[in-house]
Amino acid sequence: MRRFLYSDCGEDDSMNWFRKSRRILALFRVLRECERFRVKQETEEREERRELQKKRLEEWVPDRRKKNQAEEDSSGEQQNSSRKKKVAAALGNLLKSLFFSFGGCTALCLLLFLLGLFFGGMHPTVEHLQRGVQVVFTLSGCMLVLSHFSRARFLLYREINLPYIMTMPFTTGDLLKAKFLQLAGGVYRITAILVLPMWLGCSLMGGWNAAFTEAVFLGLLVLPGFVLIFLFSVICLGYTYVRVVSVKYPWRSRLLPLLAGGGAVLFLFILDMQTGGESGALLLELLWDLLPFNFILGQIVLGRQILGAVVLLLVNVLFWKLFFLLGQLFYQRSLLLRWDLRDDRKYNDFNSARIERVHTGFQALILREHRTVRGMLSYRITNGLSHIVFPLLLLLLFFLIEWITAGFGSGELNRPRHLTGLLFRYFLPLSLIPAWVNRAAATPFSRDAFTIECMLALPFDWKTQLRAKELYSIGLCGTGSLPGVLLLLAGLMGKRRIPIWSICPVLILWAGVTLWVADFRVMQDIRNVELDWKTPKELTLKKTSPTAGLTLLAAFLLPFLVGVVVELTALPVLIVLALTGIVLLAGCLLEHMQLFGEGLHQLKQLGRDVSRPKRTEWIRLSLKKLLSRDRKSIRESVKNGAENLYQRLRKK
Amino acid sequence: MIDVTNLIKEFGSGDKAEKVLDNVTCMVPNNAITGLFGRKKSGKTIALRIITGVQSFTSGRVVIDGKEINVDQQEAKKLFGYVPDSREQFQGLTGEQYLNFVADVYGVGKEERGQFIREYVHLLNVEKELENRMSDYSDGLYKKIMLMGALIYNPRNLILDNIFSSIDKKDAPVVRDILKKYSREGNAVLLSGSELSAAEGLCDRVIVLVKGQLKYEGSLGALKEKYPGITNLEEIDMKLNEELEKLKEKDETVPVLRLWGGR
Repeated sequence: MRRFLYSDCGEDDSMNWFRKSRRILALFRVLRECERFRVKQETEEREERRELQKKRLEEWVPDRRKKNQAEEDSSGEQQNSSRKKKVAAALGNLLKSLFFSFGGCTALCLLLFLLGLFFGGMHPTVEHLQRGVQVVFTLSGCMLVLSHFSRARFLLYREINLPYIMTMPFTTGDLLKAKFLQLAGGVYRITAILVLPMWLGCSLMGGWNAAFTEAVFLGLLVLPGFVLIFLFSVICLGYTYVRVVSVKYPWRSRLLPLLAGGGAVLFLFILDMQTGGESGALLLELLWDLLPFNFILGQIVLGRQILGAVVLLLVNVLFWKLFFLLGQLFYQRSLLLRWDLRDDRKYNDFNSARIERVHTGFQALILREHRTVRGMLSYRITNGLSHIVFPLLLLLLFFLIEWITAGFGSGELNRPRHLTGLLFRYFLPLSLIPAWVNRAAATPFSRDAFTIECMLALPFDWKTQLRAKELYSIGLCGTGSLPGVLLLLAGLMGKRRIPIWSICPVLILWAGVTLWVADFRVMQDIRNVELDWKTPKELTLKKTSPTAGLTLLAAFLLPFLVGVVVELTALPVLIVLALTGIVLLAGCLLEHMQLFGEGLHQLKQLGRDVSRPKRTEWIRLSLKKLLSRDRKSIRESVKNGAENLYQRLRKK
Repeated sequence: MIDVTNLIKEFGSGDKAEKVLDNVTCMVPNNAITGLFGRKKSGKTIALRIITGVQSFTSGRVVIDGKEINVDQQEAKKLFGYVPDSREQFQGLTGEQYLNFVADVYGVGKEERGQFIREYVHLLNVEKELENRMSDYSDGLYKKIMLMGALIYNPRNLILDNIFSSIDKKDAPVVRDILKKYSREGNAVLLSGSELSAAEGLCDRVIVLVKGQLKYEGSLGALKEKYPGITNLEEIDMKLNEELEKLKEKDETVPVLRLWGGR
């Protein structure tokens, strides 16, 4: 058979642009097809998992089980009605999916069309595009940042076909071009959804004569889109490279954050010295000045500035070059090294080689906590609340308070004691909320009695297990409340011009409050549990005492009152901070002692006093569960059981 | 021909570094089928990933037909076809789309690819499945399509990772015949596996890896003659270790057992 290699055919050097492009396009088409399929498959899997969870839940809820039994025993008419119900449910699901996939899109387009009409009506001349373009840029920028950062990272680095594609004779440039096309497709789909309805609305109100010219200039919107894609890709590449480099040179990974952190602190210190304590406000002003970037683009479209368009084009060429330069430098290297990454679960050989050593001991306990909590819906909800919804609410509240208090002598508030009062009144109560809301941190005790059984089986004493739980709880509460605290700090620095050193006491306050709340929550959770071993997963919760609610109320009221006292009295700020620190530390210590004293005792008691169901009852339940499954799952469970037995024997 | 010299692969760095391939030196000659065998975690897949240029290595040399894999990457990658062990790749494509993609990448003309597909579809009995998505394929069928993809551009070297683990007993003789015919045309074939029975009547040379170290290189016949009645790789591992210990006592420079001859 003839060999088709370029080198054999003498085509390697003389391979023309057309042939190269065809290869890249073939790769792009294949990658796009695979990505579509992956998304479809993931959606289906998610649906299946949801159904399975529902089914399992129904199996274990006694009332529902009885209800199901009654339904099974009912007459044929009822069966017909259940069929009707099924059809209705299927139709409902279809409508729901139609609403969410198409309805949302249509609503957005309609909204933008109306906006276009509004701006077109407000400014009948060519100016009507200015505001519209600004809105489009802001919207598209936000949407792209939200949706495309993780996608860029996935496409560039985690693509499942990459290992095989890497065995093919593609250059790094070819790979990057195909990936770039893939990214651009997604970005422009969103941009088109945002731009076209707006343009239609504007043209309808502003007159069709100018519509063509405007459309040409709106084509310029393509260019900033490219800039954004380059930006994402370069950030992803840089991030990947830093991670990969840390595998080869661990000292660099340790040195880098230290250098970056030290440099930032030094920079802020010098800036603070130079600006007379207003560095925070200055930085925020600089950030604020960057926002009118979309205004500049709007001006180019508005004024049909050819020069501006040319500059944009040049900027794009520059980004293109930068992207490929960086890509050539380390993209292939990153891909080659990703199998060696310690923290990459999907691709590493490193972890699989030493998985037993890495995940034993205390680390394994914390990992188990994380894995148990990760699957919970409450964890996802509280994470979403504390990272997105709560910071936004906090910001709104802040501006509302600012607006209300603006008339009460803002000059007075610049004095240190007023600032301390502000910190107490705003930060302490508000930073408490997400930590308190984050129920997931301690749910394994009070949601799932199975956890206690697992804890009994684990080769760790109760104290170590409780310490792991406490640490994980602190981590969750801390990360939950940190975004809100930082946002509020930025707001205060910008509006009130508080000095940069005030970050330190605020962070100390935040750490103290988080520690205290995390310990308190775990303690409350242990107190709340009462086990009932009729079924493996059933438990009853004790009636919560009013003390927990009262403590929460005090937690909100006390800092507020302290803030008011600080503002009214003439106590020096440093003394107040020192006193608060001592009080918080004492509170944390007390709570910690209570957790490892009373809490530990209670936990041990729980483990000792479990009135397990009789053996016959367990066997009956297990058999029933086993028989209700299909053959495949039986085979799987037998296989798993055999594997477990083998592992246990091997350990012995 | 694939030439591997003093290949070392380490995970981690400094004192915590862990060697998964320790000074491996071997050769995959043309006109022969070479089997790379070893138990799980012996370093077979990592060795193949390094040879195909998917993974980096700490030191050593990998040369494919005179082109070094970490120097002339693109040139070296044009010289082999690869069938991976995992079946995660290109799940969203149909068999036909996949074959056309590979043909496009390597610049195979439409007539040639059509002729190849017609011939091999009949040979491997995959006429009906070519239009289905690869996610719907069984493991054996997936491997057969991947093998077709690796052969469509007729490379000089063929690297197959664990191919016989999932191919049906019914289809295995056909695949064996294809590989034999292919190697007889002057090409090199390197296949990996965890069961020595796969090498029976197929491999001209056998390489055995034990915990990342090359313990045996030679013919399967000679190995069987030395340890008659043993087909299990675990037992052979044990015997090889004993043999190498004895050799080491005599001469410290003999780290690998090399035997030739036998049937």
